[in-house]
Amino acid sequence: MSSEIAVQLEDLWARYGGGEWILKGLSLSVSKGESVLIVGATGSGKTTLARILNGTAGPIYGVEVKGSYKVNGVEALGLDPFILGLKIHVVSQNPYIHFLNFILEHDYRDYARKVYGDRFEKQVVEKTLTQFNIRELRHHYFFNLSGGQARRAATGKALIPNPEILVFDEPFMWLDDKGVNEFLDMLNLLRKLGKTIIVFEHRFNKVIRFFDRVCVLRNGKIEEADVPALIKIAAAKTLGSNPVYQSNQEGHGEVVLRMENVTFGYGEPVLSNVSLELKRGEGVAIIGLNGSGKTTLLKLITGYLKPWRGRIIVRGRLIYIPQLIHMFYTEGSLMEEAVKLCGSVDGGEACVDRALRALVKEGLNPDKPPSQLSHGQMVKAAILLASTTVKPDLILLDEPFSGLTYIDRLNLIKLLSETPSAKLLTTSSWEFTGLLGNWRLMMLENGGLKQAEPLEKPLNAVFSVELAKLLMGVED
Amino acid sequence: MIKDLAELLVTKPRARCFSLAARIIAPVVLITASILAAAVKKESSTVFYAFTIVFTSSLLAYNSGFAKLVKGVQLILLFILLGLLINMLALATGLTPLSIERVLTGALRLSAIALTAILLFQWISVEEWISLFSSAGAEGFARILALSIIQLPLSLRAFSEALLSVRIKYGGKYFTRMLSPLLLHAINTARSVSETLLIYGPPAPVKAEAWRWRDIVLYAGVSAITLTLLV
Repeated sequence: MSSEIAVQLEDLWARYGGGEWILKGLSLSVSKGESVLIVGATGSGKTTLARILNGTAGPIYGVEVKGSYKVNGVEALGLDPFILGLKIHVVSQNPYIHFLNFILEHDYRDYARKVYGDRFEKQVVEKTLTQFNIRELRHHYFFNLSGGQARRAATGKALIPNPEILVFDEPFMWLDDKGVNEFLDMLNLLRKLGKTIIVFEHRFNKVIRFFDRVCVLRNGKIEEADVPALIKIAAAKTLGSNPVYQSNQEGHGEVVLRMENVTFGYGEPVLSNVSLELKRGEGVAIIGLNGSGKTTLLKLITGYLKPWRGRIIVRGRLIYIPQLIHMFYTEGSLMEEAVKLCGSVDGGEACVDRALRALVKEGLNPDKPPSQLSHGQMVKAAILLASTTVKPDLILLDEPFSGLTYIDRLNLIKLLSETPSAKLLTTSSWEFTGLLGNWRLMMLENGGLKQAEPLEKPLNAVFSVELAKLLMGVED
Repeated sequence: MIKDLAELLVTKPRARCFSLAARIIAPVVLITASILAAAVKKESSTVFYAFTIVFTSSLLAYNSGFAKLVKGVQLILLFILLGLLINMLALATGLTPLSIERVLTGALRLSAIALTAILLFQWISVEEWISLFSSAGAEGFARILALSIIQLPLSLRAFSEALLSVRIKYGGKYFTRMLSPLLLHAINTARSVSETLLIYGPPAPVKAEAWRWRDIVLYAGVSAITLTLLV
């Protein structure tokens, strides 16, 4: 690590369209070769800061920015994002938006040509493909890459101009445990290459030890966290807690879902002879890596896909909460959502009242548009709305933990444990499965479903929550 | 089916064996002729549509492989088949004044236009669309078009997700409400991709080729098919 400053932010202010200031006099210095983790609650301004760093906050999002932002001592506010990208590159939350050509190699070559001209284009692309171990993906369509592959491919593209500084905005979004480990390997490689690394992430448990410094973005400002001291306090708080949340036992007995020897695939089989039975009030969590067939399994249960062989019986009404959670919401406010849902089951005012009371009890404003809720709030509201209006017999949740902070994950587990419906959720990470009490854990691997035991101890998850609370200044 | 359709709409490297001019002219002529044939209601149009389907299917199969073509067009053909069935039912119950020939010709025409439109997507790359419209002074439109084409496969997947969750959420009611999350998704995605265009720069302009010897095959095929309309 050098004493030279790579990124300098001084008294930085930012707001969208004349609204409230999101960043309020933020200052941060990052030295060359240093790695910094920035944690912050949802809505704390992490993504806004990332947009300022890549130069698109003003031109695309109309963000008003005041203050100073220097890269290698040169003022960077107002610089062309393409020019800025040659020095500092931001890999955003959604890695799929980094591509302007369908085939990965063509996309890389187009960008390399713009940076280096025709002469060195091929050489640079070959080097990048080898360095990031993505040669086998070169002829793939970007939209067919898994979350982990897309993240690696987007990072590879970001490195084509050989920028000194790399910024990752929530890199673990949509990554399974294998993808997280691959990302850590990549961070180690970038460090060896002498890059300055800034990561915005709230799922920090596995990576916190990698960084030279951990900072917290809170109330529009950044402050450095005393991680060793906070770890001690979090450990003390963790001991003596009762971390396991039991799923609602009431009404166990009636079978709401039965899958018998189900086989399905897209050309090649994805699921083979899968059998599963789920009773009312019971919870089942299916764990599997990206691409293992979790979403396919849920879509078979909904009837959207038809099995090649075997049969699926669903008794009663079900609700599907998708991974792209904003696809669940169709109305302008949560209240309108409740009215529409009650209308679909011919529920009267009592139905709407019940839903609104449940929302308010959980701290959700019924007048708020769903699009203005955080990811965690959207998942929570979807469960509350469904369980108080439609009262489904079965709730299907596709990757509900993805994109949630540790605190939101804990809240979601609590909420699900109080929901009387049968619950079937999928997850690509073992993180927090230890808290799922008497839920049945199942592993989806090589097309088959088998019983599994939690790999993580419940106290680990509680520790993560306690540390997150301390870092983000959230009170119990 | 949606995933397969998304893959079918992507530009294929094999398309480059013809010049850009031929790749534009051939599908545009076939689509225009299909629409005109419907307007003038020539009896020979059935032959024209049938030949168009065979011709475009062969070119699509050359680009993507026969199996992928069959999988990709399933969804479109399903819609056309449904329309055909509804019309046949209406015909049987005397609810429509159309003759069976016209109903069948309509289905053939739709299939011919759909397959030719897919060919246009496979043959013209994003960079070529941008170059074409930019050279015509419509840079803004070129950029919007590029954003839409690039995100088309992912948008189709979002469509599938919205379709499923909204259908189940309201128990089959309020089906059209799924347009609302899709619209929001499209706006957010368009902004994100605009960000990408600024960071990585718009696709580089391409050299537009007006002629290649192989184009003769294409022009000959299109001419022969179009001439059937004059029979």
